[in-house]
Amino acid sequence: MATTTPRSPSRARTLGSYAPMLVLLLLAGLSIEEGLRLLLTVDPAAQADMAGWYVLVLGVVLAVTSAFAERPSATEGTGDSAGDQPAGAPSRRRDLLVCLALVAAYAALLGTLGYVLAGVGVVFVFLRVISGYGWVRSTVYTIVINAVFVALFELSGVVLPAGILRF
Amino acid sequence: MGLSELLAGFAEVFQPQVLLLAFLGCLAGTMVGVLPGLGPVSAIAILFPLTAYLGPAAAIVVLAAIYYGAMYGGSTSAILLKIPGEVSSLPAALEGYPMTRRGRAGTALAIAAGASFVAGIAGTIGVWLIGPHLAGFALEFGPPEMLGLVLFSLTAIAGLSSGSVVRGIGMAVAGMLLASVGLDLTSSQQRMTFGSLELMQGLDIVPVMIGLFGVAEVLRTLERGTPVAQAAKVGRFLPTRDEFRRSAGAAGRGTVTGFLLGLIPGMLPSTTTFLSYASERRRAERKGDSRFGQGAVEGIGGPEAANNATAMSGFVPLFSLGIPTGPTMALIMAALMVYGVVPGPTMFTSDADITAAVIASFFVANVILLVLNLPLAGVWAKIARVPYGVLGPVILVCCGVGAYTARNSVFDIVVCLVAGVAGWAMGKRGLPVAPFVMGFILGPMLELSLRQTVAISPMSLVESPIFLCFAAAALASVALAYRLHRKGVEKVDANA
Amino acid sequence: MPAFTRVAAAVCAAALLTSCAAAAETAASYPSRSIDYVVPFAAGGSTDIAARAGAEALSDELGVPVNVINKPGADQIIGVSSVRSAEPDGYTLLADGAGSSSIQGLLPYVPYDWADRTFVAKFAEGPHVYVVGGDSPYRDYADVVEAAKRNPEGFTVGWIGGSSTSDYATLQFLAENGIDAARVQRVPFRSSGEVMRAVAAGDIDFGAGGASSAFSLSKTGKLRPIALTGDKPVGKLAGVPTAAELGHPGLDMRYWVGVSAPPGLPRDLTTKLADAVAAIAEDETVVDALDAVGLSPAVLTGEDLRADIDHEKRRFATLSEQIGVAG
Repeated sequence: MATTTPRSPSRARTLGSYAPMLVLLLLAGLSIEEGLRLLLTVDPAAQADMAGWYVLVLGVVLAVTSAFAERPSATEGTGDSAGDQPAGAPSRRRDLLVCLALVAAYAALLGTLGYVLAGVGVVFVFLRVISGYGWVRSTVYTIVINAVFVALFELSGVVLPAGILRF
Repeated sequence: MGLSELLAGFAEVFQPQVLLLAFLGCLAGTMVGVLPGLGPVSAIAILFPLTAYLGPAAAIVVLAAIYYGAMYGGSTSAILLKIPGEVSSLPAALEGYPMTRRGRAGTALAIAAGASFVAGIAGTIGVWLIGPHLAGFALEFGPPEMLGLVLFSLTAIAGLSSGSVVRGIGMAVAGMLLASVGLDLTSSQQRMTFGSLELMQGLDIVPVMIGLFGVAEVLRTLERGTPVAQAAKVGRFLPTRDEFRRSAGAAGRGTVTGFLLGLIPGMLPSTTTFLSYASERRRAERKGDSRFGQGAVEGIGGPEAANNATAMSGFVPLFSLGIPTGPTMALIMAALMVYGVVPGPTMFTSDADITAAVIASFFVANVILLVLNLPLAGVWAKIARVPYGVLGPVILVCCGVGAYTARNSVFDIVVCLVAGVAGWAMGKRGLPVAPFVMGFILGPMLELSLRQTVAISPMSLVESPIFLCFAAAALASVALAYRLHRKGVEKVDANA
Repeated sequence: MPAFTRVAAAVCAAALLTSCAAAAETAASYPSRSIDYVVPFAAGGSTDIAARAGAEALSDELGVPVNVINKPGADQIIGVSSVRSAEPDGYTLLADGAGSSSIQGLLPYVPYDWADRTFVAKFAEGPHVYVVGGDSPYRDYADVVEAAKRNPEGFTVGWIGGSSTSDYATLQFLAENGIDAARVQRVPFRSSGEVMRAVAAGDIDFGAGGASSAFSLSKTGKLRPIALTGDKPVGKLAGVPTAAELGHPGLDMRYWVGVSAPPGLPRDLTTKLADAVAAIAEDETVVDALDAVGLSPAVLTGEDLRADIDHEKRRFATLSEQIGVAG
């Protein structure tokens, strides 16, 4: 997937190109901190020293490898071509955000509304907003898709939160 | 157990009602297995109560059928939607989904089913004939030996990161670190939880993986803005001669290694499939004609075969010693015990009738599943023609449900969301995801066996010939990877 | 967007209707829908199996499905807190046991008051078994004690995180025989099944686990059970002496499985549930299923159960002081 569009060689390095290195270094830093904390503060009788050493050593390894291999100069030309565009057209960017919001909404609604209503909501919004179907079409598809889900889960005995629709 | 006992077992299984139960078990298992997040363990746990009213032999037949069905079904959602519901179907997602996008979903599914069938039958014969002789193997594998095996397995990461090995190691270490989040096993100290109750239960691989692959793929598709699957045709169903040759060889290798590794307690199908995937990939790259990442059939056939062979050989230590190699086997063992059958040496002697029926049912279940899955492959493959506008929300809900059901935890859906963004970003930056998953699986095994070895006696390392062999093999493997790298054989594909 | 308002209104109406229905629930109408029975362990362990047998029978007794839901992780805290935060309407129950109640009283990081829940009833309990390797030089109880006393630093025992009754059975064994638990090598494992494998293979010297975990390996001769806790023998481990027979009546660590509910479960529902649980413990199929996994029916309800668990907690506290930390 990395070969579709030729990239401009003089691309300026943005904060984005440093992001992977920074995220990995953050993870490494947290691990080193946790490792030291376990080694220094916990009662030796708890036999936690190995637990500390393990994350400490891994944290150091991660810090070294990411500082070495994730420098933007070292990683140029390895990613998806899409990464070079300023995150696509605005409408696509909106689609991505809506999609992420839908997963978050599903997590938030599953416990309270139950899996049926949460599923109906997510599917409907996706069809209407991202796929751009009309009201009628979206409604019909929503009903059909969720009917299949409900039948599948009920038949296979999978227990999902019933939420307010329980009976 | 001789042939006559096995034939008696077949007679037991060929009763109409038992056959019907086996068929229903296969069907139910496939249905649950197709749902992402629900692997064999959940399938058996969910359908466990249904077997309560059957006799011991019939109940075990049904459980074995469900187990198999779930494994066959697991790769379906991986190939069609790129949602790997469990680790063992990740290779199917990596190599099968590109085939789906090219309109070859039917072929990918057929190869998966065929490889599973071959390994299932070969594994069953293995359990029947050589099982009783290999049982002691499970006791040979103590902490030092396990440590050696894990170290060797970690070198397979070199085969998974064709871009830069150092980046691969970094990602594997990141995976190991994230897998160490939670309560420490020995000391019950909190590690990397930062006071969060949710993090205290640790991160589960299934929601992480569903996010990294399933959700990330939805994001990528939306970003491309081209409903890719719309134009895809189901395409020819049978593999080409070349595809057949490639996948058959891989399936054979996967069967043998999967079966042998599966005899070791703690070696789950998730690990052996990954090892098979890594070794097939490395093998292809050494030959210089790797199609991995773009739909290599070896990457489907080998791991699928390893998956089923491992699942089969897990029955060997279970039947002969009562040692379950993983959670699924623990559940089957519990089922046996509830029926008053205590797994152990008597399984092949005084309880031989039950064992024979179970082994016969393995044969039958594999045939049923092949018959069930080959026609289904054509039906399933039509899913690839559904426009993405409709398929998208289905995939998204499947991801949510899959992440939830792994541990019945809403928090895991959030994990899946975060992993989805991470997977999307990693694809953009060319960070390899497969070594991350490998580190995530092997990390806890490494830590546990390391700490066990230290607690027992560090000297046991030098005294263990198996550990020394594995350590030597690991060094050789690293040296080989280095030489391969110098020759510059690897192809540019960091997106796996 | 008017449609969203309409959907929201419909959702609110539905919520209102169901909450009215819930308020009208009495002991006479309970249960009217399926019950979630949360097991705070992964599928396949002893508690899980016992809970499944119990759920099956409870479902027959109450006439509604009883769904077993596994919520493993974080020393059972996840499972327990999910039940605690559920409505106290009798439709979310916990498969309780020592690991999710009294032992939690010792853990410093449990984010709730462990005793703040409705203990309904326990229905089964079982002994632990102490094991050594079949090829090890120890033939019986006395041999192990002697070896451990002579060289505690070289004595390796299986350890599963310190939040299980198996670990407390080990601690009790060490305390009873005057062996310093802090000097013994504790080797980490994930389950008592893995401990049994390691003992049988000779990787470690000594292990403890629920009786059923030793059934299979003891038949191979690779594993030698040296004693059962308590005073009742187990059919599938014939010939293994009980601790009482060996003159150690103090070794009585048992594990139990029961039913708990969120705090504030109405009294009439508690009584109805407790009666149902007591009834299933007499059901022959349940007794058989329990017996097959080394458990026997043992009913204790309400305040008696709470007192019993409180007592258990105090004993655990004394034992864990030996190794200097809780858990």
